[in-house]
Amino acid sequence: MTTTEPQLLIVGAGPAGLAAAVAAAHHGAQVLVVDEQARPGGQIWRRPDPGAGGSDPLAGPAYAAGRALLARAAAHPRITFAHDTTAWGVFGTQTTPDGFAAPPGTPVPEGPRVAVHGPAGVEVLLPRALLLTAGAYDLPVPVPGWTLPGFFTVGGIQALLKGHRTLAGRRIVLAGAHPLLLIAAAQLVRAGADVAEVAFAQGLPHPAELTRALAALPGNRAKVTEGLAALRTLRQAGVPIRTHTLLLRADGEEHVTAAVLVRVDRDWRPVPGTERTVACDTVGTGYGFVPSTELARQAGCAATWNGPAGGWVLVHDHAMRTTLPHIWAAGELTGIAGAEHAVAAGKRAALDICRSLGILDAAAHDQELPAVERELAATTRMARLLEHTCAPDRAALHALADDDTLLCRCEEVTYGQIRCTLRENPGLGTADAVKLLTRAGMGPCQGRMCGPALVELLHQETHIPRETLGPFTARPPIKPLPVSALAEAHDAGTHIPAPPVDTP
Amino acid sequence: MSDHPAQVSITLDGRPHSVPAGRSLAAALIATEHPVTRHDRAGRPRAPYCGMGVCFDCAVTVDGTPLVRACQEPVRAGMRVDTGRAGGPDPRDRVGRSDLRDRVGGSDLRDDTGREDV
Repeated sequence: MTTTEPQLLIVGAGPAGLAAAVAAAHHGAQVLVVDEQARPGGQIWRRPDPGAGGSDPLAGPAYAAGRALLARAAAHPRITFAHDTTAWGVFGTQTTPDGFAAPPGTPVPEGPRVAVHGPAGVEVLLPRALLLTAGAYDLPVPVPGWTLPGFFTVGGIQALLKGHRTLAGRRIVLAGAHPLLLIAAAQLVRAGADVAEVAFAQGLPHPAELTRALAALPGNRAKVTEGLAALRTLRQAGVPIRTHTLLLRADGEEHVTAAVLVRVDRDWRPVPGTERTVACDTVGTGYGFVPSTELARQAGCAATWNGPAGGWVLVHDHAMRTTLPHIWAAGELTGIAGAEHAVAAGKRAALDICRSLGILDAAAHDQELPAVERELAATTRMARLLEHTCAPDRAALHALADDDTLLCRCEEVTYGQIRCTLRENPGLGTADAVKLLTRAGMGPCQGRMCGPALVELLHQETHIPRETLGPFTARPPIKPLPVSALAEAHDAGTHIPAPPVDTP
Repeated sequence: MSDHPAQVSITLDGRPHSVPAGRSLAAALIATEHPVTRHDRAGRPRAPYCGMGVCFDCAVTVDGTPLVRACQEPVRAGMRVDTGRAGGPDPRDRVGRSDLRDRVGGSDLRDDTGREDV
């Protein structure tokens, strides 16, 4: 195990992380970027193994900014990438009641200690500044059949295509509420898939919404152009795009064999008698995203509930500072707002970080600030528009699961079991309490899949506000880790707690 | 897809399989129409869901290491992949039950889920 002291450590090599890395390195910072994937780019700028041949999924004009940023980051002498590396704990930021703090009297180092696990084992990093840009994942929406092989999130289908040149299936139904469905459907059609239908829960925009959309246009032309190009591709391929339509369930025994869709009213409530079955081998749902706030919350950064922005989002100020010293956050962690906004937020964070590291003087900072602020403002307008028109109706989606539907995929806990537990324990008032009694959230995904659905179930059953119910407490390691790695970190004297010892 | 990738040979649940190279193990399994990465306790087949390392439904045992996410693992020639179907180790066995059993001399360890005595 080794210890490294980069000036700036960035967790997540997506748009926010890359933009921040390039900006900070430009001003002279030594930057280390850790990322779980094999290559930088995050989810949106995902590319296959360059040795695998074939065309570049980022070839089109919509990805020009991404290509440029990836190239600049790869070429910069002050940026180092640690790929296949998971940041699993932030220590030394606060005293926690669960034994994860430094022993009393231990001098707390300047800045957080960040434990990572990668190809070389465990390493503890001591950056002077930590920027969290962990991104987001697709909102999991449990419906009957959602654990069948062939049932994916739309992000998963896109990752297979962009990162691995693999079609998730032959005949695909996409359903949800987010415009990513259109982009993904067009990419699938161009790659040769048969997209049977794209179903949106909401209706077409009203005239007032269109006016609002026009107001959000300046500075967001690339995004709109990409959407229109996707629509053209789907029209030419004859792919039906239906509005006011929800995926009720997926049918099949060993694999998805059909999607059951239903017409819904303006409140996403199914219209009786309008169910139809579409034969397919693959289903993808895209109802929006969940910010990956686990590492930040484990560190002790404050989070707040903002349903339309994805659920729990990090509290931050105008310069992307979290509530903890030395820790900044940018991109989807502060609310789902898309890649363009993440790039702007990454630049904004980098300016403040370089200023606080003392490598950027006030005059240079103030000279760069207005352009970054304009970019942030323009992309925020587009993000608010999407939030307004595409936010998931959590109550309506909750109603799609029946008592036999698995809520927790890992521990195999059903909606019915949770309801039963609530009846037997009427005082339960947090997601954590329900987790302790039912095991929902205790599996390897650490509650990332069932957390949002569990909070909604508890909210609907108890009427306790969502912000009071959760989220699940985030504890280190925030991703599963071999016990030997924990022992390695502890033995190195980094005040990381020892793994539990089994006494014979 | 239009390109025809090179193939590599892997062992899947004890049987040799030829799968496309240059992609993740999950993608290779899906491309060869063997998407099932595990069966849950109720016997239901499971397969990749999130595709980006979050859900762990694609976790398999690779060369004896449990809980390896197939969507994050590049496919490699000669890799031994166990989904738990053919009596191999259960990829989701969080305490490495089979290893423990070897170490404690085959004593009867209780199921780590503890479900039956709840």
